[in-house]
Amino acid sequence: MKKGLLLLVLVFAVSLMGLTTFVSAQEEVTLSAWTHDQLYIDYFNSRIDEWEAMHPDITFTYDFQIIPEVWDRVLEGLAAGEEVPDLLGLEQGGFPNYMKDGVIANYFVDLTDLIGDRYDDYAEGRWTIYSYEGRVYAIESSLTASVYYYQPAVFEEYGVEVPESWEEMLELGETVFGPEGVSLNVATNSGNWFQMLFNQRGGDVFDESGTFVFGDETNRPLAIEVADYIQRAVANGTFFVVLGDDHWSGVTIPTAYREGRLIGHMMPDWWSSCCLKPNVEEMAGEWRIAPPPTWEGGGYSTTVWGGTGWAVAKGEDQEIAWEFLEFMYLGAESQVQRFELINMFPTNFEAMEDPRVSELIDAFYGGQEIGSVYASLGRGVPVWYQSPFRSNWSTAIGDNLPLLFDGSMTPEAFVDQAISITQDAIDFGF
Amino acid sequence: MSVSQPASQAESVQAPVQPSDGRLSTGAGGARFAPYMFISPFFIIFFLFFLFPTAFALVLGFFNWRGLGQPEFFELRNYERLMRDPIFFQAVQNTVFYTGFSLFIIMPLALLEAMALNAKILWFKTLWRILYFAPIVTSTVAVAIVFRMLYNREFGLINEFLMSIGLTPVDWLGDPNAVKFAVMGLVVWRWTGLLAVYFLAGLQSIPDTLYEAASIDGANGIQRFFYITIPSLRPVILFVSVIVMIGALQIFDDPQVLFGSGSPGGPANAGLSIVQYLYSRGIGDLLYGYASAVGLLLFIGIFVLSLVQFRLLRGFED
Repeated sequence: MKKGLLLLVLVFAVSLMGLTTFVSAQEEVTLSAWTHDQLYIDYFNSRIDEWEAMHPDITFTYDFQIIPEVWDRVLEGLAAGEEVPDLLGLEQGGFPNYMKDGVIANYFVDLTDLIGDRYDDYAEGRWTIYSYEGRVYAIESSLTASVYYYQPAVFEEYGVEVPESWEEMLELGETVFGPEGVSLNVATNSGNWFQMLFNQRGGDVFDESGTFVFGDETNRPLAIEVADYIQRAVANGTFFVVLGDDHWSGVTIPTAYREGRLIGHMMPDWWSSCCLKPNVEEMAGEWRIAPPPTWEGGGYSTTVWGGTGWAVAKGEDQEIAWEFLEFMYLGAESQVQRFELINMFPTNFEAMEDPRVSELIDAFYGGQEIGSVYASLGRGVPVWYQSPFRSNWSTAIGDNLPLLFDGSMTPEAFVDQAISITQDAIDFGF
Repeated sequence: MSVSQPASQAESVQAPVQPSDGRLSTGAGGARFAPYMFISPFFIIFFLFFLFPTAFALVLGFFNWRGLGQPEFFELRNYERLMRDPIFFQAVQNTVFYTGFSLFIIMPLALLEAMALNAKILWFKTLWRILYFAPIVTSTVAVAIVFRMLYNREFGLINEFLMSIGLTPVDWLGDPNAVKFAVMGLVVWRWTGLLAVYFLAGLQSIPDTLYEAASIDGANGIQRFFYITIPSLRPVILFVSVIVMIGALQIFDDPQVLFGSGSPGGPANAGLSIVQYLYSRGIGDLLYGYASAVGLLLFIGIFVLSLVQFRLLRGFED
């Protein structure tokens, strides 16, 4: 009896030791992810259970934060000696500041080898905007392909088709809509907006090595062609000019939509959720999307504007942080799930063709199968490159666009001014 | 009549208390340091948040530094760059316009407003004073949103009014020739009331007897204004003109929120102020050395212009 009791105690003690060992073997990891947009956090949270099930030996704590313009705040934090989060949502416009002084390479993980052969499964233009010295440092969240949002009823009323080229649009503006005070697209004073049109025409601002090529014999004529088009389109009313923040908020664009003053707008996929649907909810069913007009002289079938890539910070948790990002962002299934939850169009070719994406129907667009429109454009996304001096170029373009719009600057002068300002900054170092 | 204390009592009050255990005493030693302790919070904060950053910025103007790594000694290259930076000079021109407009349009407007508020025949004086002061306590961002709607080229109330009386609409926030006036419109609305309060305080301190005596001597309204009101208000005019000039040279939030973050300087930088430029180079582009150079030039400009203003107004006072 005594022996039996002793044995029982021993077994219990051993079991307890085993349990203790098991508990102490549970690794504890805190994953921090900072972004400017709640949507990313929503997506991460939606798949947390799935992620944790893959790592039963790790107890995770999450530090997910929404910080406006987080890319700038992180740089300021670095200057003050603060640490960077494990995962950083880096807006593509903020990336050039991370190229300066090699910040991106010093503080973030080079993902090129980790991505490996999978590079070719994704739209290349979505890798190049997060590349520094030929290495990739972030994974893009959305294709940001541009489409032409339009009001079909107005086109039907005037008995005309949606323009398939920019030249057709200009002609329609000149002969049909302009005299009626109706515009077909928006012009705004943003360097990104000009770049969207210029990239679609096939132009490059910087090449793969980061050299400023906007002023070379190939790109300067293309830039002048695009600038000339813009000037003519504004002059005959084809383009409706909206400056500064009014393009993003305020009453101008929604009122112009409602009053039939503005019946179309070429913008990327995210325009739908950020700005079109929320501002004119009552116009549900009155909109459709089409592939954007193309340039008769050549170029891409669509173009891009914006994007947010996720970068992994160097540190003791960099491996698990990369695994987390890989799980959330790479692979067709992840991208489809992301699209279904937060509407970010996949950059992965297989995911673009998945029926859950390509057959997506949206009631706001009158039940149109909008997924198929985006899917048809997925491989037509332009490839362009970043540079530490991109903001100099972009600012020079944005500053002078109003002068191009009102005709006080010729297209040649407009382009040459941007070349001169950017080259001056490159020569001086900032 | 004075009351003298007995010597022994005075000595007992003034006698130092020697602490037996080394603790801080409330005696003469402590009393000697007490005033410094009381004023030290101001000086500590002044040093940490004004003197040190000012000196640091002065030094930083000679370096190229983005906040990371070692600052690179740049000699005078930041200043050389500044001297051939067309956007900086555009910002200087715009700021000079803002300053001139503030001194020669807004200040006189505020004085007229103060005189109206001080008029004996005005009804509901308190209500008017509250109304004129209200813009100061209104959120700048809210004000800017409303003004952007008012200035809207297509659907704004101002253009609706202009068209209703047969005038051509103005692209207030899009036409480089109009944007500075749009900024000043916002500034007039926001700041005239506050300046009027300063003038009102000055006007109320002028004895009525001066006006009565002048009236008896046959002075008309204009004469009373130039020979009594203005001379009596000299100290207030000096004070207001100095704060208006410094405020205008440092104008930032009004154009920044009016134009928004997309193009904070307005179209073609036609509304960009010096401080906006400093902010965009320092915070936007992380060029701390270059921004410090801009800041130093602004500081010198304000210092010199303030000296000139003091000299001029002192002459005016004499």
